Amino acid sequence: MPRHDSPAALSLEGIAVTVPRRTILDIPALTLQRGEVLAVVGPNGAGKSTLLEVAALLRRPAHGEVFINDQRVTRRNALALRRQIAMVFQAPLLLDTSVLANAAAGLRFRGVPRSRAEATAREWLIRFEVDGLARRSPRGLSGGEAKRVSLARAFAVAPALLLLDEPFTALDAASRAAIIPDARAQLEATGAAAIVVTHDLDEAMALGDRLAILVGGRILQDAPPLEVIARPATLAVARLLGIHCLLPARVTERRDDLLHVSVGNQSLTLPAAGAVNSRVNDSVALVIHPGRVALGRPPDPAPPGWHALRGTVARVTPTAAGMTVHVELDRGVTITAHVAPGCAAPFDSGSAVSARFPADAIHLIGVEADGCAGNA
Amino acid sequence: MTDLWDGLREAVRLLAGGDGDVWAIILLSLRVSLTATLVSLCLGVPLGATLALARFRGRTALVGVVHAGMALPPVVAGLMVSLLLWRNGPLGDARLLYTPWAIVIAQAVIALPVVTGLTLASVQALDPRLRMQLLTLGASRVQLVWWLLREARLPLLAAVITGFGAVISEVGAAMMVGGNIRGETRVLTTATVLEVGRGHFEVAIALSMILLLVVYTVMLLLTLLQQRRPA
Repeated sequence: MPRHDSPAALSLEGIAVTVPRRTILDIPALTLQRGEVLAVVGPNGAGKSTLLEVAALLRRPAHGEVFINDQRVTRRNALALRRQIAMVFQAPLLLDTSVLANAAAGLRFRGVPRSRAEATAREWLIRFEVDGLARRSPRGLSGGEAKRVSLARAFAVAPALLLLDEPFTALDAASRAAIIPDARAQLEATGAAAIVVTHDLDEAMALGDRLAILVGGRILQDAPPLEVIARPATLAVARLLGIHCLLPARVTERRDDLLHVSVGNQSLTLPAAGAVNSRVNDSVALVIHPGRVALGRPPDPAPPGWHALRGTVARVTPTAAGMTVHVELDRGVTITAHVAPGCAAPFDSGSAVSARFPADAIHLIGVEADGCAGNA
Repeated sequence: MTDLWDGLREAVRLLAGGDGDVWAIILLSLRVSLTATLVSLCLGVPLGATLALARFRGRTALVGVVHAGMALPPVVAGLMVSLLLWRNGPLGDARLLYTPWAIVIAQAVIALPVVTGLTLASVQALDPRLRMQLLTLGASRVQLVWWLLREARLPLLAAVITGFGAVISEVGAAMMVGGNIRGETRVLTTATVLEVGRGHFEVAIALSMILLLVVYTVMLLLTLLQQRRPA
């Protein structure tokens, strides 16, 4: 949990990183409090690694200032401030020495005597359950073991700021499932602030107090993860989050507190509060999370207070969590529903269904000039 | 075949019989070539690491010079060092020409580009992210270079092996700057050339075999060092 009473672990102000004729990172302001974990998600080339390099003081931005623990980074104090940071890369990048010496390396760089450095390193190997490997060479370790050693090595220096670049991507599902809660627990125990860059949304949700969406070098949204998922700020964010249920719609009427929108030749009436800027004839997109869409047979009425859209089943895709049913509404527009296994009668392709969802499941996004609402 | 057998018998006789001249030549060869290799390491490793890690104007041209130097003919190196050490040359006052130090200098000039070039290649072959990892572990500039060299120690030992191999086996420079003076600057290769000239083929073959034995022993030691594995 963030602690606001102490100095911010990291502050970026007016950061711009440029390559010839192009800005690859543009962050007007970003602050990370002690104990706060920021998950950063973005497509390839969005500037995620550049952001980490700037935060790790490995790359000097063309413009802007970096503050570590409220101290402005200069050429003079860069090494001292870098020693308050630790970073874990996607590859474990262990040194060709024993596991114990690896875990102690950061402390040794800081001039800690060998015996004390190795004692601290051993404690961290114990916390990450790899102390049995202390005397081994990293060459024979499994991917999960090597990752645990590299995490222990990073935590051993008691960093104020921990930077994790796709830390669990290369691991198999079982190793990931075991290691992510351990990493989260140690982050909470030490109170270190952290940035986790990942392209895995589940990982971001499991680790982050905040979720930032980085696209084209800019942060499009930075909010608690559940809020970002429920209320993506823009179409680009929604698409990146894999929200496939984006229904193109048009505002047909705005009266009092209600907004009437048309989806194909069907219409919905929504509370206008969530769409203060939308005017009549505006194109909008409706985000409806597939998990909140229930399917029913057309004559059956929808539960009170729920909305319903009619359509025909276009495609049924089995998934690990059940089934994904794509329902084609009019004019080739598709709404998606996640159906848990065994809890619904089978829906065959071509059968008529009604897709139902509660009013609060709908989030309305204005369509930017360059975006076109459609099914991703 | 007979010559070869005679040579082998002669080699055993020279070594086992404790021929003072031969042992002096062997020891001088080792002393000169190992010193030259050490000098080239002291200069070439930092130089190669700098060329691998730093980015500055003219770097590529400098790397080109190093690579060209790796093909430097020993005779040319010998000639350059001769001109420097010549009585009227810039370093003539040191009176080093025709001393073992002159051979050390010439051989170091030969080995330096080899060690520099191979250090450069071994540091550049490391995962570039390793450098970032070391920096984010809090390494200073010196700690960074030290650990990168430590990570590259297997190919670096190859640089040592190649550098030593280049100088122990060369004859042109040693002849030109050392003069092949008996008891002073005569090394295994120059002694072999001399014996061939005199028509003493069995002695020349014996010296060659001793040279090969010396080279094999040193290389075996370096190889043992290189192939050692942590548990």
